[in-house]
Formats: sequence, structure tokens, C-alpha cells
Amino acid sequence: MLKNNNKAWLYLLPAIVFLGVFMVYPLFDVLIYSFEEGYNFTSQTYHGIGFYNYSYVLRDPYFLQAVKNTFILVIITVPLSTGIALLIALALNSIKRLKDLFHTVFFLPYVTNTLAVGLVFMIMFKKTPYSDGFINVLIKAFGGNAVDFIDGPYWAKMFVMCLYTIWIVMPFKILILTSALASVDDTYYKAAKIDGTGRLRMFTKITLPMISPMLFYLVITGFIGAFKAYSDEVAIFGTDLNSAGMNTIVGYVYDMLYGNSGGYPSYASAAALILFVIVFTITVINLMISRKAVVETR
Amino acid sequence: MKIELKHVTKKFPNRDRKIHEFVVAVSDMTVEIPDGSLVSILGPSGCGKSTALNLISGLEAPTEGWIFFDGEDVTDLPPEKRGIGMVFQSYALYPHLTVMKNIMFPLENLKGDKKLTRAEMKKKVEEVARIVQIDELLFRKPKQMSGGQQQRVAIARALVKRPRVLLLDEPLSNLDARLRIQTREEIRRIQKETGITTVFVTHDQEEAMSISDIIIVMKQGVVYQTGRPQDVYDSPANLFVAKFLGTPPINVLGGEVKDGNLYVGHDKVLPVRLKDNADRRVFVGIRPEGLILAGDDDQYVLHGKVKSIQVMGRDNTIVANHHAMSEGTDLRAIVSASDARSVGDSGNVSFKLDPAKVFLFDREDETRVEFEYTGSVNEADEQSEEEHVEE
Ligand SMILES: Nc1ncnc2c1ncn2[C@@H]1O[C@H](COP(=O)(O)OP(=O)(O)OP(=O)(O)O)[C@@H](O)[C@H]1O
Ligand SMILES: [Mg+2]
Repeated sequence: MLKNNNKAWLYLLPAIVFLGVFMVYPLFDVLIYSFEEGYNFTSQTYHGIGFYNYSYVLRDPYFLQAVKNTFILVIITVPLSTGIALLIALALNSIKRLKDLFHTVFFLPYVTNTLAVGLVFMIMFKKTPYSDGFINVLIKAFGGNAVDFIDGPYWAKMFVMCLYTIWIVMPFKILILTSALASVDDTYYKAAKIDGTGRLRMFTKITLPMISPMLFYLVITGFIGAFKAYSDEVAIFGTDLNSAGMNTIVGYVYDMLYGNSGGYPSYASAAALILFVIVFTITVINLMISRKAVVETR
Repeated sequence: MKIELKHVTKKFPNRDRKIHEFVVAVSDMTVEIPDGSLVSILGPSGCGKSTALNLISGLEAPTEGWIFFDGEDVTDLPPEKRGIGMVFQSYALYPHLTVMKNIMFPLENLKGDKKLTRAEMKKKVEEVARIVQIDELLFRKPKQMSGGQQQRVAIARALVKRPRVLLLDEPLSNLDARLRIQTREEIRRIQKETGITTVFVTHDQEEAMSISDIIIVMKQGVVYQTGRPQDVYDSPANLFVAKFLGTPPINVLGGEVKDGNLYVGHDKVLPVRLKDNADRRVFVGIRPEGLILAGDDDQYVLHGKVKSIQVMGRDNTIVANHHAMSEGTDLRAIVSASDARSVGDSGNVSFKLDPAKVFLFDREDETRVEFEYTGSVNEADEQSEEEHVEE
């Protein structure tokens, strides 16, 4: 028995060492940094321990803007992308013949580089002295006024950002949901059909409960992913996100470390820990809800 | 309700799309299922049993042919309008709903003037739960119940709308041996109690024989024989049906009718006469209970070499070799335990044949070849007649 136990630990050792070095240790390091006041990057010294870093970050308008951006992004993109992905997955599931083809088509953005997709988005939405961009040409064709989506008003930029985020996370969600839908045993539907169940009731009473574990998995990972958004913003608005007003929390952390005004690991750490607390809280709430709502399907 | 299938054929496009030929799952099926009876569709895996059932339920539409319920053409009627209840092999109980909610599910679908109040629904659920004897379990989830209990819930759900027809697709195959026997008797009881016309699909011949009023034996989409279980067993229409029914299965040997006698290999086993009086080569099917240990003075005997004796309690099976049997197959005879003891574990054994348990089949199309037993039925007479023939 004991021997078995030792063996198990031995097998786990590589993973534990790896996680320890690259996850647990940095986490503690960040925690410590975030309380070291007046840390000097070059001399690696600090003059005190306290909450100053936190109060600085929480009063920094750039950080507050980043928090606002991040929350808008999360609240808009997570439900929308999951909902749309579910609709598309449902459609795909009903057209069995085209399923394989569509799988590839919808999966393309997933295997394509974020920056490349971002570039395409930028070209489509950007307004330059030479060209209005594809989307503006469309808007004008329908009698609207051209908007600069990349350097223009906040709502326009936010719109592009949300659209882009939804687009980028969609393939994965569609993939997960189509396989979740396909894994629902056909006999449930047969039984329901014989009992005269309507289509809507079949969806709400059978399909939704059956795929609810996957749905909640997507919502939870979607929340976490959207809170950690950064590279997508860079792909569209460039590296100076603060002046574009489109920074995110992770972007703020990065800027504090390496940006033009960077070199403040203590502020970065404090911001990172604030993000951690937010994500942790939301995930716990999510899990609590899902424990109630997700049905055991097996 | 009387169910009739008339020349029903179902073709599927091949699952492998590269093959363009159709799969004929059911071919020109014509059967009549009498009102209030329990009918089994019996056949090996892939023979089209489920397809036949799905055609009756309306889950599949026939490629050709018609289906009638009480004389009314229901061929184009969707399943929910046919008044059927169905039980699936996997039960298909909704795992997230309690037993109560599962059984109530069909009732909640009712619309318009058929709509029921909660209280009415509850009453109906409790009623049907009592019939299948699960009224104690109404607030459990399917996962918290045994296979047999889940099975009953599935039957209750199928019955709650008081359907005119109950369809069961291999409802027992997920149960262990003991529970299968118990549950099949339960199904028979429920069927008798409700008087509902029931179609039961199975590949287990014993199951079909034990509970059905009528069995329909199928193979590769074709109905091979229809009839009361005992009749089909006592008079199989062809070699397939003969082989498919009975445990242990019928012994099949190559044989020949020559000069008024049936020969199996070198053994002269039975005095017979064919309708056309001709001599011909045949397959000889002998039920294991049709092999009777022969006395020393029996003239017509089948000789074998004992391989083993299988003890099954009341009756024992003698497993033996016969020189006319192909490699790998054995002769099986069911005899009483005391008779088996007299044989011993090895050595030679000889059997005489019970003519009622012997069937002859055509070598080519394997259909039954009728014969007349020309020996005497009486044991003593038989002896004298045989002696007479010898002279
Ligand atoms: N939807 C379908 N598409 C293509 N072929 C099918 C389809 N359904 C059934 N078949 C084929 O039709 C034949 C009969 O199938 P069916 O399911 O009726 O057999 P079964 O007797 O119920 O077998 P089992 O005992 O294994 O359940 C099989 O060859 C099967 O492959
Ligand atoms: Mg089947």
C-alpha cells in the first residue's frame, strides 16, 4: 500500500516540479512584489512593505479604463459568442452531410494566428486618407456615414473589439458544442418524438440539459479567457493601448512591466493580483451556479 | 388493435456513401398482428427487427408497402398520431428527470382539449406506476435505480398515455440472466393485465418462445416463418428457423433418402417415404430431445462416440461425435440424468430417433421436405415390422 503510494508520487514528480517552478513559485513572487513599496528595478531594492502599490493602481485612470474595457468585453462577448456558437452548432448538427466540411471552415480561425486575423480585421475596419476600408464602403452603400473603427470613437472601437473577440473564440465553442450535441443519444429524441414532443420542448427539456455541462464549461473558460484578453487588442489597435483607450487589465500589467512607461513590477504585480481576485470570484460564482443548474447526464 | 403490414419494404442508403447499393433492411414483409396479442419479432442481429418496429412506430417510413392499424391506413401518419408507446433497449430515460417527471413527460405534451391538469397527470402516473410496481420509486432519478427498475419506468412511460400499441425493442438485453427471466414474465403480466397489443423485438429465441402468442422469425429482412411458438418449433418451415429455435440447437447432419430409408452417413436411421417417392440427398435436422438411447435390439440407430456429458441438473446433455458431421460440430442429445449415467463418459453410444423430432430439408434452398414415417408408432410393432422388412 505504502509502496504504491510512493510510486504514485514518483510518477507525479515531474508534473509537480514543473508546476512548482513555473506556476507556484512565480505566484508567490508576484504576491511578494505587490507589497514591496518603491521597488527599484535596477538596484532591486525597496523601502517598505504595504498597500501603496494597490492604492496607486486602483487610482490610476489607465487601470480603471482597462478594468472598464475588460468588463465590457467579458459581459458582451461571453454570452453572445456562446449563444451564437450554440445556434450554429444546432444548425450544423441538423445538416449531417455538411457537418465535416463546416467543421473545417469554422475551425480555420482557431488554427490561424491571432495577429493575422487581427490584421485582416484592421484592414476591413480601418479608415485611412486613401481608403475607407471594406466595412465603411458597405456602410456608405447603405447610405450611412463612414466611421473610423480603429482610431475613431470609443463605441466604434469597442464594437470592433467585441466582434473580433467573438469571432476568434467562436470556432472552439462551435467545435465543443457540435460534439456535445452529437453525443446526445438519438434514442432520447426518438422517444420524445413518439411521445409527441414539440421541437422547442425537445430543445429546452432534452438538448439543453444534456449539453449543460459543456455549456457551463464554455461559459467558465470564456469568462477566464475574456478577462485575460490582451493580444487581440494589440493585433487591432497596436501596442500603445493606453492612448487608444482600449487597454485591458492584462495589457496594463504588461505595460507596467515592459511598456514605454514600464519598469514597475510592483504595480504590475498589484494589478495582476487584482485581476486574479476578480477572475477567482467570478469563477467561484460560476461554479456555484453550475452546480445547481448543470444536470448529471450519466 | 390489429396491426397489418402489407408488402412492406424498407431500403436505406448505404452508410458507406461510396457504396451506392441500397441496404434492404426489410423486404416485402406481410404480417398480421392480432388485437390484444403479444407478438415477437425474432431474428439474428442485423436482420431488420428494429427497422420493422420503427416502421410500425412511424419513426421510419416504408420505401414500399402499407401499414394498417385496425384497417386504417397509417403508412403516412407521424409517430405521435399513431397512438403507440415504445420502450428502447437503452430505456432512453431522461437522466436529469425524476421517475415521476419521466413518466409524466408524454402527458405534458398533450395540447388543446386533451390537456391535463397537474393533478390529473399525477393520478395517471401513479396509476401506471402501480401497474409496473414502481410506485415506491417515483422520486428517484434513473441513475439511482437498478436496470430492472429502469426498465419498468420505461414501460410505465410508454403506457401512461394508454397507447393502442406497445412496442419494445430488445427491452431485456441490458439485464442479467436472472432479471431477464423475471422481467419478461413481468412484461407478459403487464400485457395480459392491460390487454394492449404488443410487439416485442428480440434476438433471444428462448425469450420470444416463452412469452409470445405469435413469433415472427426474420433473417436478412425476410420473414421466414410466422406462427405460434410451439407450432413453429414443432414444424419449422426451413433449416434456418429449425436452427434458430431451441437450446441446445438442433443437430444438423447430411443425409440421404434411399430405398425407403433415411441414411445418415452409414447409419440407417429411420424408415421414411417422401411425397414423390423419389430418392434424394437432404439435410437431416434432429432435435436434441429426439435422440433417444437405443436398446441392443433396435434396428434403426444413429451411432456416435461420446465426447462428454454435460450435467444440467434434471436433464443431461450427451455430447457425441458422428462421422457424418462436419468438423467442429457435435451431436447433442438431451436425456434424463439416469440414462446419461448408463452411458458413461466415453465409448460408443447409439440413438434411435423420434420421428416427430426429425426434419428433412432440401440441400439447395433449405426448405422443409415433408416425409412420412413408415415405421410403426408403437415400440413393439416397430420391432416386428422392422424384422418383417429385413426378411
Ligand atoms: N439508418 C440506417 N441507415 C443505413 N442502414 C441502416 C439504417 N438502419 C438500419 N440499417 C441497416 O439495416 C439492417 C437492419 O438493421 P436493424 O437495426 O433493423 O437490425 P436489427 O435486427 O434490429 O439488429 P440488432 O439485433 O443488431 O439490433 C442492417 O444491415 C443495418 O445496418
Ligand atoms: Mg435492433
